[in-house]
Amino acid sequence: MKLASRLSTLKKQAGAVTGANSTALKANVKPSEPNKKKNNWGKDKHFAERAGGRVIAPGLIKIDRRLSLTSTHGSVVLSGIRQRVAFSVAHQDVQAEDYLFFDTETTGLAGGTGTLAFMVGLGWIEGNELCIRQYVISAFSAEEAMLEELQPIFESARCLVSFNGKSFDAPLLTTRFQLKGLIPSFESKPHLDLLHPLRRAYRQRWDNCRLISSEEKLLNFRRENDLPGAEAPEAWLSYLREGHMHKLLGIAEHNYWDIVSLVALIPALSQSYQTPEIFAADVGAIAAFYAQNGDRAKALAVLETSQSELDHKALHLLARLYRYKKCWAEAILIWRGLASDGCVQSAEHLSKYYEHVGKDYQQASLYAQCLPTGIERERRIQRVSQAMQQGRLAF
Amino acid sequence: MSLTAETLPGESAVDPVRELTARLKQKYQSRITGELTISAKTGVYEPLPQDMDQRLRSALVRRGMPQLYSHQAQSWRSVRAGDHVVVVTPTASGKTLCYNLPVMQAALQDQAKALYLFPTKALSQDQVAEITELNQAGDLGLRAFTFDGDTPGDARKAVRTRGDIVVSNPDMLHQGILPHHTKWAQFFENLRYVVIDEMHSYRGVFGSHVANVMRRLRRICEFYGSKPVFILCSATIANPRELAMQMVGDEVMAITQSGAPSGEKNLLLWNPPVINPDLGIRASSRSQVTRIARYAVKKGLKSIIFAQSRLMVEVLTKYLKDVFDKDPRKPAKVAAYRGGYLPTQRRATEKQLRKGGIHCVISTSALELGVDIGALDVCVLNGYPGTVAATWQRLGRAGRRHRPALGVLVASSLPLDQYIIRNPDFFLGASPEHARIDPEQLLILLDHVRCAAFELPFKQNDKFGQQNVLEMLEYLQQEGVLHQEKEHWHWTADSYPANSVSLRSVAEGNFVVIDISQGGKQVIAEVDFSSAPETLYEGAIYMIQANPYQVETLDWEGRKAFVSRTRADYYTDAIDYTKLKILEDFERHEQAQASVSQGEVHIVRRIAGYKKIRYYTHENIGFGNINLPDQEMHTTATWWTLNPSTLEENFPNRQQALDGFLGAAYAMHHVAALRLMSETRDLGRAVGDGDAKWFATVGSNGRGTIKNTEGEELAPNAQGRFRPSVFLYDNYPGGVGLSSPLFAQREAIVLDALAMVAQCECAHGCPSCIGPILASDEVRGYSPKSAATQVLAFFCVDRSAASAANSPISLALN
Repeated sequence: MKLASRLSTLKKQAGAVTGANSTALKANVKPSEPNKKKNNWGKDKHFAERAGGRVIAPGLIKIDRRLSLTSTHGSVVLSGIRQRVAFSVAHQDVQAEDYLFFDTETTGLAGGTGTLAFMVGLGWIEGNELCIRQYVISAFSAEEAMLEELQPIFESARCLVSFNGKSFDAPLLTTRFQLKGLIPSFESKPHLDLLHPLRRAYRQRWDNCRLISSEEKLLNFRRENDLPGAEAPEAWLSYLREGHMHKLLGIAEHNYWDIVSLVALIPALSQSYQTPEIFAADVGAIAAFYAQNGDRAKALAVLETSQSELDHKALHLLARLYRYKKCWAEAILIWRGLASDGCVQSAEHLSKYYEHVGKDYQQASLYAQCLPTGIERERRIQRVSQAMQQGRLAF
Repeated sequence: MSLTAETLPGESAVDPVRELTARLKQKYQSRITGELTISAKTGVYEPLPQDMDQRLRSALVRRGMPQLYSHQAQSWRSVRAGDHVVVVTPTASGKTLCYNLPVMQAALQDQAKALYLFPTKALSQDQVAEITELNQAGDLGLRAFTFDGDTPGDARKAVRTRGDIVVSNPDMLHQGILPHHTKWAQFFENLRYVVIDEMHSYRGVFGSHVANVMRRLRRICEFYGSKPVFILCSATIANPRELAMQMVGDEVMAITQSGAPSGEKNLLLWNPPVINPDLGIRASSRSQVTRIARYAVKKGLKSIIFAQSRLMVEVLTKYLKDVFDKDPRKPAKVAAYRGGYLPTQRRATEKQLRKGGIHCVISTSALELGVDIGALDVCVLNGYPGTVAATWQRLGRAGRRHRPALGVLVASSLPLDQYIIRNPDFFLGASPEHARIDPEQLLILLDHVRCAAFELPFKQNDKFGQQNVLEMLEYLQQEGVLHQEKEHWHWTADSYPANSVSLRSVAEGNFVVIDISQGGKQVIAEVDFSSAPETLYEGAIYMIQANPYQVETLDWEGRKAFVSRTRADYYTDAIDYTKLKILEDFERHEQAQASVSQGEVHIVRRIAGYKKIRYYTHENIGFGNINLPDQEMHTTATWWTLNPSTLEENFPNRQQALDGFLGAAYAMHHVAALRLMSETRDLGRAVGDGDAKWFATVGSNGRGTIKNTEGEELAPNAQGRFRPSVFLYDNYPGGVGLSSPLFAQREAIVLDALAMVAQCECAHGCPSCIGPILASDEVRGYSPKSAATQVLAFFCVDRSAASAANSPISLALN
């Protein structure tokens, strides 16, 4: 019996025991015919023409496009990229020309050394234009040439911008560079991964924080006939095996819009952080971001715009900010409201306030009684009653 | 590891171990069928090597080791010369220094890295602790880290980039390291040594997988330009060098002469007395083991008991606790140790053992491997462990360097035990077994070719181990997971193949045992998937440290068993049935009256019910039903079938033939295990029609019954077609190459079985030959023993050989 049929029989009989057949691709991808290897140059040239690019090496296609910064993406004017970044302290001084936007399309999401980026989209600002370049490979053997093209571009970049690139695209490309014996430089570069500030602002508000959701909800941009990124592996393989380019063209278009959205997302997110109440962002989370980074004034301003809608956590932050400013009346008002909802922490704040600042030991004692039973409560009550007696003696 | 702390030989005039040995021999002379004394051996030492780093040297001196044992020195020289070595020396002979010293030297001098692989996590932790001690003694500044499933995510990067020695296990290498080798680039570039300890545990399916993981490791090392030297350690097996070479794929040098001193060792072979000569029934081995253990504990000796099953561990623990731990206010003297206990609980027991707080520990094979539990005086084996190698490995647990030790092997009524105990020379003179692996097993090989292709593309003429895998690559291309481009084969699937390949070939997902007594919810144990059906069915008594819990509900899908404390005075024992269907004949041998075939079979195991057995009296006090999914397996088997005419002519009725087949199967199973130098559990046996229409078992009345697939009893005479076969199958999914040698030795197996049955002293059959029969069988009009002999004789090619093997029976036949 031939090995292949023996393996098939055995595997079928071994069933779930070995799990050997669990990784076959979806049925609609036909295996390639190994012996019908033709020269792909003509096919690639055709693809390049349709995609608006050219073949620059065997199996390597480069597509260059430009977009004026005065144009809009959804409701965002791209020139907004020149504004200061509001959502990341580390990147506030980066110039628009320093950014290198990038996004990859891969043969899978599994990670590890068996996953490959067959398309890498890049974007950067030159003068008044956004330059978008895409590399596509149509053969495994072209990967090295693509990586060699990419290396100097990444090398000279001053700040990488991606969406989930820190966890996915950058490690994946690092692996690919290492496999080809090239030295990647991702780890040492500043890297602005927009997923994280987006998540901070909208995790509580949206079902998910995918790039496509931010396009709909923040950029007011809707893709037409978009081929979802999840279909990328199949699209590439069907080009590789059968020369079907329709889907791969769709993926190139998808990747192109990913890059443009990355650019537009920076000013849009900055706006969300500056005026979260207008862009339906999580005001408390954004105020916390400002507070953590030392900008208490901005944190306070953000919270005050929507005080009536704040949750407990945000109210605590607001009260704390008032306390720093010694705006006691405002702080007390919040704590009282919270304490009447049964918030122990607020009761403690009030007790401390009346003891140390208000010198109203009756009130201090009253709020101390609200604390949960335990050593802390006893100590506080005792201290307040001592202070009360000392106060009487002083009279 | 100090050479000076223990007493010297002959120092104490009345050594308690010698005293105990003498007393047992005097009082129970008739039970002792054989004995062996291995005299004390002085150490063979060599000075610390000249080329050893000064720091390492002073660390050794500070730890009380101013010189090396000869095998340590030999290993040092060979490894430093770049040879792969396998070190095979007894338990507690300082094996770890054989690899630690060259590894540490290379780390100190060249910042070279080493990868240590142990079969279990517990052993990894032990190892890191040991390295740390030496490291601190010499202030060496080396970093040894474990890398396994418990390593937190944020610590992993430090392990990868900063570890001099990374201690892991084959499963982690397979799923967590190799598929991400670029993250480990720096480590692989500087990898100089790979240490594989407890090599003998890589046998069968597991070993076949691990040999392939090693092929992948070597492939990755080659990519990073390193060619590590392998240092392997093993317990005594017959073929250490061969196994090591299969693992390493290269020449390996074997170091087998231990230079470590050892105290005198006494070994007694012990057969329980016959209590019912008619039925050939002997007192239980359990009763003998508890007796010996009681003597030892009363003498103040530290002892270990090895039992064959988790259940027996619990039963023995209960009996000994009833004697020695009656006062709950005092610290426990008796402890159980086995798989299934939580890691923290096991660590605590190990610690107590090292401190000497526990006087008697009862364990399964879990303590056979090199977990550090300090030295013990007496080792009692409840039943033959199944292999010569495992027997010595377990006996090695008792024995301090300069004091006598005693080992007692107590035979059970199982045929293999009885064979061994009646032929003491067989065991005492036997060489240990071969560890067999089959790295070329097609499905295992295919699994690892897939994993390897994910890690690095294959080139057209790349070999994987010995194999040119071109055909396999083409197959994987057909499957759509690989893509060929000129000379290269690339991974294209959106999946992570290592995740779907388990090296141990047991299904994923342990069961957790949750105690819900008093409304609580506490995880008290874990049970692996394969043993869950026979231990965690609803109604089962599940014991932990001899405390009985009853399983209230079993959530099969959720892999949870909910138990509560109980005061039951019984334990439970599962009853299982095996259905077997022949899928394909590979080869067939036609004989005069029978045919023998080898081929592929499908097996379904059903746990149908359970028995309740009362403590001490061991009477059967009830049955319960079990409703669990069937366990399926595809494997290879060899089977013996009688020609229908022979069957009809020679047996007055089918019932008698059936009893004969069941008895023959029982005897053949046991001698086959001995012939193949494997353990009885590596093989399975079944009697049936080979078509899964019916299968035979010994019913609760002790007679053969046949059942259909629904488990309903059928009348043998009511069956139209009646062609029973005896099946012996390779008890691993997919098979690991045991059925070919079975087929090759088909005649020898039958002759051995005949001899074993004929030599048995019983009248009509007993657990030592054809399996237990009940007293009432004597009046059934025929002897099941002679029925079995008749079946066996027909299985022989050469009837005269059968007669010679077994003269009384030949009379009956002619």
